[in-house]
Amino acid sequence: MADSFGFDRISSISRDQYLLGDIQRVNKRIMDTTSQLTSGKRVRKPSDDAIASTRALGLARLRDDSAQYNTNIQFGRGRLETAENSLDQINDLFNRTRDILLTQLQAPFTTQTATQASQAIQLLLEEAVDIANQKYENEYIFGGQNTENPPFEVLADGSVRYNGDRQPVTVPISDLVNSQVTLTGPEAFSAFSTTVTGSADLDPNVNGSTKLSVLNQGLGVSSGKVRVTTDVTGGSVTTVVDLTQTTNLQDVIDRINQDTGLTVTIDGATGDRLTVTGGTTLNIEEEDSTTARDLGLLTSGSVAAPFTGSDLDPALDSLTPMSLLLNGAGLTDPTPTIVITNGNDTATVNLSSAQTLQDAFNLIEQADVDVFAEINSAGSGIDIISRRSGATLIVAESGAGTAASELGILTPGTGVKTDSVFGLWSEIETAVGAGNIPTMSTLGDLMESMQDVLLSARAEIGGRVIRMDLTEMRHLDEQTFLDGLTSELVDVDLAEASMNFQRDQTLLQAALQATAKTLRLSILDYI
Amino acid sequence: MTDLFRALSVGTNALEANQSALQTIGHNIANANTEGYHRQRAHLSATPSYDFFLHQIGTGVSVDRVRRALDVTLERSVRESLGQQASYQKRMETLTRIEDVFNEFNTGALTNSLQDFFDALGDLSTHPEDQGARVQLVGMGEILADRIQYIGSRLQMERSQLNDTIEATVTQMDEYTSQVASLNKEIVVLENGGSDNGAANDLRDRRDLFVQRIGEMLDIRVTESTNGSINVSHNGIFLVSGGSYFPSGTSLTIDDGVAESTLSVGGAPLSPSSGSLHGLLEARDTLVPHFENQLRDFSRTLGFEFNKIHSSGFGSQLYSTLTSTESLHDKNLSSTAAGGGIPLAVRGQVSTGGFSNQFNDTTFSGATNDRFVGLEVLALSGSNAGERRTVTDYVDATGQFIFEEGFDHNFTAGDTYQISSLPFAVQNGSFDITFLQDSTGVEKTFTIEVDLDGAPSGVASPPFHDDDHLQDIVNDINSQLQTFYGAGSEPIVAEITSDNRFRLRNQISGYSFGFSNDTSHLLAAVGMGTFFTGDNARNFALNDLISQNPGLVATGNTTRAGNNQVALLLAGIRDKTVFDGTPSTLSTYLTSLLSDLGTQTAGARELHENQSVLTDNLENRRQQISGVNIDEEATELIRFQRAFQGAARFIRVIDELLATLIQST
Repeated sequence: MADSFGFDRISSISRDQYLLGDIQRVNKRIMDTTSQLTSGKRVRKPSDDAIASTRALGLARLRDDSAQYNTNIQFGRGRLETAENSLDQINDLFNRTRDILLTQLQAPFTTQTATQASQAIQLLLEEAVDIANQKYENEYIFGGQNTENPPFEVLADGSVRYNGDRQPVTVPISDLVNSQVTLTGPEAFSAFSTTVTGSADLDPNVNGSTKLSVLNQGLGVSSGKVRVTTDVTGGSVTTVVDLTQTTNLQDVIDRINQDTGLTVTIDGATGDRLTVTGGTTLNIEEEDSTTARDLGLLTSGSVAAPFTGSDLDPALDSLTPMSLLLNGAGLTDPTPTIVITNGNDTATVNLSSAQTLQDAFNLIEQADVDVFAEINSAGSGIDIISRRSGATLIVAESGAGTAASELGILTPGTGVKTDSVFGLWSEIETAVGAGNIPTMSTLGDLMESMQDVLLSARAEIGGRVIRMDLTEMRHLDEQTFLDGLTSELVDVDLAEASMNFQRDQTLLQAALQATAKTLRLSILDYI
Repeated sequence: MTDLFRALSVGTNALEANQSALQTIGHNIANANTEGYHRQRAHLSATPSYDFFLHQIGTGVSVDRVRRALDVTLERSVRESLGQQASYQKRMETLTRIEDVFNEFNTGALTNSLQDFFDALGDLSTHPEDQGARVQLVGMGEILADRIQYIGSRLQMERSQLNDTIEATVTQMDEYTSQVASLNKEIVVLENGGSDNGAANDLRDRRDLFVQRIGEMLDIRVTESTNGSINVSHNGIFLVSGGSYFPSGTSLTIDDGVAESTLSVGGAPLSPSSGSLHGLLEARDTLVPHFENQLRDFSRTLGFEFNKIHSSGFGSQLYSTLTSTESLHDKNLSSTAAGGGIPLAVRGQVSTGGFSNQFNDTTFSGATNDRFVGLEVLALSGSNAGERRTVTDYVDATGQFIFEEGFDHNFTAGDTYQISSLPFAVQNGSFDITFLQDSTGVEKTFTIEVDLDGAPSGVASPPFHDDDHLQDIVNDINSQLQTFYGAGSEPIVAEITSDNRFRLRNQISGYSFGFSNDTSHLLAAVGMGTFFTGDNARNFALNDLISQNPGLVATGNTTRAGNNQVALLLAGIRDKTVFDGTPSTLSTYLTSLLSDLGTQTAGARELHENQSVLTDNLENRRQQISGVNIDEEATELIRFQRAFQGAARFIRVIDELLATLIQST
């Protein structure tokens, strides 16, 4: 500057502001530190430390998940331990039954003692059934997913009916690990022992409504695109057909027809595969998945049109129409009727009105003989299962009908029967009461194998409980570790914060003193 | 004698000059604390001397000029720095407020509500038959929905308040520009049209202060004319030109529920690159919408993904009559709807983009011009994915769609979209309805096709072929039920209500129903058997049916009480891949949103602090030059006081000399 105004002068305003600014900065630091000290947290909002807060949020999530898994484990273990306890008690009752049986076999008995023994066994059985109807937190533990009703019931004829299903309750106990926390009646007491295993492959045909998910034995069709090259007059045309939004065969047919101009139909001769017509040659390839193969349409290179794909091999599902069964022949019996005898009860079931397997199953269940039908695990046939433990189940034709054999569920005239814990028990009760020594000794031998059922169920529970204990310990360790990490990230270091607080306090005092003195100084005092 | 009189006038001049200097010092002291004041100095200079034989004899002193001490370049730097600081400050303030709205790490934070909700879901999955666990989940769901709604509305309110501040700021700016213009006039007069350039110190101080304040609002360029007036312009748009100023104008457009002002001066749009207006506009148009959009995507995705699974499951209680939460547009009802029917949802691909409020797709040409008017376009991919706008015009010949309000981004050719009145994406597929006869426990399942494949099944009838309208779904249900149960004996009747909702109405008591396997997502989109309702954060809520009856919360994929398969699937939603790209899950999306917020807030604070330091430095330098130092002024005071005293003594001496002469002659 050419003027007399130098650069090193300080204006009164800037001096004051400068001093004030210093005091404010110290004040702000003290406020921050105080707030950290009173809240105990170094990070109170994301911007305090964006990186630490993101990590802390992630850790909090892991911590919460881990805690939730342990809640699940505690709940599951409660159920399993209750079940273990129940099985122990039932095993004791079973042993006492055997003792009575052995006593009856060894000592001469009268009608009166036989009746008493039989009554004693009946009481033991009723007590066992009572225990099998054990609840944990208001939920029945041996009924599978039917947790609201007592799973076992002693019927008037002394047989025991199972009202549950074979679906266990599972809960997640760790990432991607679900653990079964109940044993179902069939698992613990072989409650669904008597089963007519369907012998016929019902091999259904397909129609437009057939869902893609049932094809290939229930494995379904992977979602993707196929590349179709067709040779028409004037050269080859390649089209990529997007089949990602298709749920049934009609969707696939419509989509390919629309996009390529070809004609896809369900093969009339076999009824279980697709046929493609149009053009002279045809080449169908995968674009991004295995969709073409899954639809049976993958051609190996160029083939002559029309082209018939391979068997779509649909699995049965409850909505499969009866008319598509058996290669599309359906049941040839004009009035398909079956006669089911379960224990002492017999019912005649007319399946004529059934449109789908679900309807047929409903009719069978509604026959009220404690029998139900289900699709077997391979999805190829149906099984008939008795709800009564150890009952004899007979499925017969009605008159000259053929429905039972067509469905593969026709039994020998004597029916089928498989042992089960409560079934055997009830048989022993009857045999002891009747004083039938040969039957009693046969049944005595069978008790061994039924006890194995109880013991192996108990062992399975033990194994699960141990696994849960280990997982729980792991979660607890993990929680301690995560707590430590989180604390390091977001909690305040008390020693450091206190020291900072002390230091800033001293600084503030010094600043206030110096400022007060400086502000008071003026040349005006001396002139 | 003449020389003595001349000497006397030297003394008088000196008295006058020093007095002026003293007065200037007094003025400085008086204004030591006045904002925008620049200290002034009286510049003295010796008056011309006269010849005395071989010598030049001085004639004394006079005040040459009184001028402000200032550095023009520095003034400009301070102004620009203040502008930048104001912009950063608005950014920081907005982000801090957004952070406060999210209130993370404190009770009731969104992550906590979400965690509590999923914990409750975890508990329910272990006790699906427990009514208490259902009530707990519904309670947590309500808290979560309230939280999302609260944040959503607060963000919208923030945007609306920012707009109010913008309006107030430009009003203030107009006030400042008018002040500058009127000061311009006064200065030109006072400085005699430029011949005394710089003389109007105090008016210039005031004018500089106003210019600085304008500079704190937006980036400006200031040029001074030779007559002393200044022109203020922004991006070549004149705000002040000499004695005239140009007031700002605003026009309102609706953006996502808020009336937003577009600023202009003389018809030319203002686009500040610094200043508080820049900060405010950036906050209103970029910052807040950024978090609003993220929250919208989060809540939409959470709601829809949850509903997709929930509407395909069974609770401890099933439905007897059920009405959809969404109401459809007339056009989606049937192919014979007035103005031409449109299937439930039509998918398409943008062929020509480039604009945010329109695009072209000729696929559906061949009908009337207003074919799609009134329906909504939902962007399925591209930068607008998840956004919806109503079609206000459709030009059939060009396939041009025009929207009532622009999307956030321009469309790009290849972006996919859906036209429908449904708020979510539906697709070709099917769903199952299962009827449970309460007395027997017998279940009967029907599969309902939702044909939306855009392909003919038989005779082609482009462009929509035989794709389903709502009436087709209704007919399908009724016809399947009639075939099985017999006309008049169907447990329910499917129908369309007078307000265009989809309803399954109970006809025969003793039956209840539920849904499963919905691959079309129609149920979730139309709001049947859903848990959440709403299509953005602000209307995100629990389905009333669920709130009133927690038994309807779906837990199983069968009607068995202990079946927890659906509850487990729902609990797993947080970690399912539901977004394209990273972050891909709801859980990481929220963490990343909060991390983004934290980083941006911390960054804004740092920028603001750095800029403040810079401004302080510049301000200090300006004060070094222009600020008043009382001690300095006091020193000067003594100096000129002494000079004044000297001059007075000199006059006395000359007086005595004159007296001597008079008496002695």
